[in-house]
Amino acid sequence: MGLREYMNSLFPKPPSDKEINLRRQKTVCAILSRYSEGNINLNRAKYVSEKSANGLKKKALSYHFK
Amino acid sequence: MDRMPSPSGETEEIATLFEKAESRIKALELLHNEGLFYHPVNQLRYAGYHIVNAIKNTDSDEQAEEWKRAKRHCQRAIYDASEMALVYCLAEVDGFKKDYKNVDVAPTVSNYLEIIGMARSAQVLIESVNHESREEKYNECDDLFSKLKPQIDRLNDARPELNKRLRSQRRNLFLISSALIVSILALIVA
Repeated sequence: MGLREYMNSLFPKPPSDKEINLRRQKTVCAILSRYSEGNINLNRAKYVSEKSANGLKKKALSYHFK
Repeated sequence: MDRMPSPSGETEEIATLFEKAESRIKALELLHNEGLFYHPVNQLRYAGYHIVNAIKNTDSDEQAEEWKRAKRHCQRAIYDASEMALVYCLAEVDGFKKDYKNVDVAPTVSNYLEIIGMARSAQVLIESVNHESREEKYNECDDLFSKLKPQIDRLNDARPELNKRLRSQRRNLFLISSALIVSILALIVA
C-alpha cells in the first residue's frame, strides 16, 4: 500500500464520478464475459481477466449485506 | 406463400417469449451502463435466425426442431437478462456500501436497511433452486429487479449529499490529527 492509499484509508475521500464509472464499466464487462461465455468479443473485456469474470456471480452472491 | 405454416400454438408461444425477452432487454438498456444488453440481444438474434429457418423450411420435423431452438434462445435471453440485471444491482449496492462505509447513510436514505434487505433477497433468489420452473424463478427475479432499480437510483441520488458529509468528516479528522501531532511535537520540544 502506497502512502497515498494509506492516507486515503486514514482519511476516506468520496469516490469521483470517474472512479464510479470505471467500476461500473468493469462490472458490465465482467457480467458480459460471464454470461456470454466468450461469445461476445468486446474491446472493453480487456478490463477483466477470464478468472475474475467467471468468479463474478459467485462474488456478487458473497457480498456481505448487513 | 406456399411454405408450410407452423402450428399456431408454437408460434404464439415463441412470439410471447420473444416479446418478454425484448421487454427485459429494454430494462437492461435503461441501467446506467451501455452494453449490458449485448448478450441477451445476441440470444434474440440467434432466435431470429432459427425462426427464419423454421419459416423457410418445408420439412415438418426440421421445422419443429428450428422452432424448438428458437424457443430455447428466447428463454435463454429472458433468463440471462433477468439474472444479469439483478447481479448488476448487487454490484451497485455493494459499491455504494463500500464508498460510504464511514458515513451514516440512514439520515439521507431513510429506507437504507430495506434496500440492503432487498439486496440480500436478490442473492437468495439467484442462488435458489427450489422453484417449480425456471420461468417462475426468473419472473420473480424480474419483479425484484423492478423494485430494486428505483432504490438503486435513490442511492445514486444520495451520493452528492453523502459526499459533502464525507468531505467534512475528512477535513475534521485531518484537523484533529494535525492538532494532535503538533501538540505532541510541542510537548517533546518543551
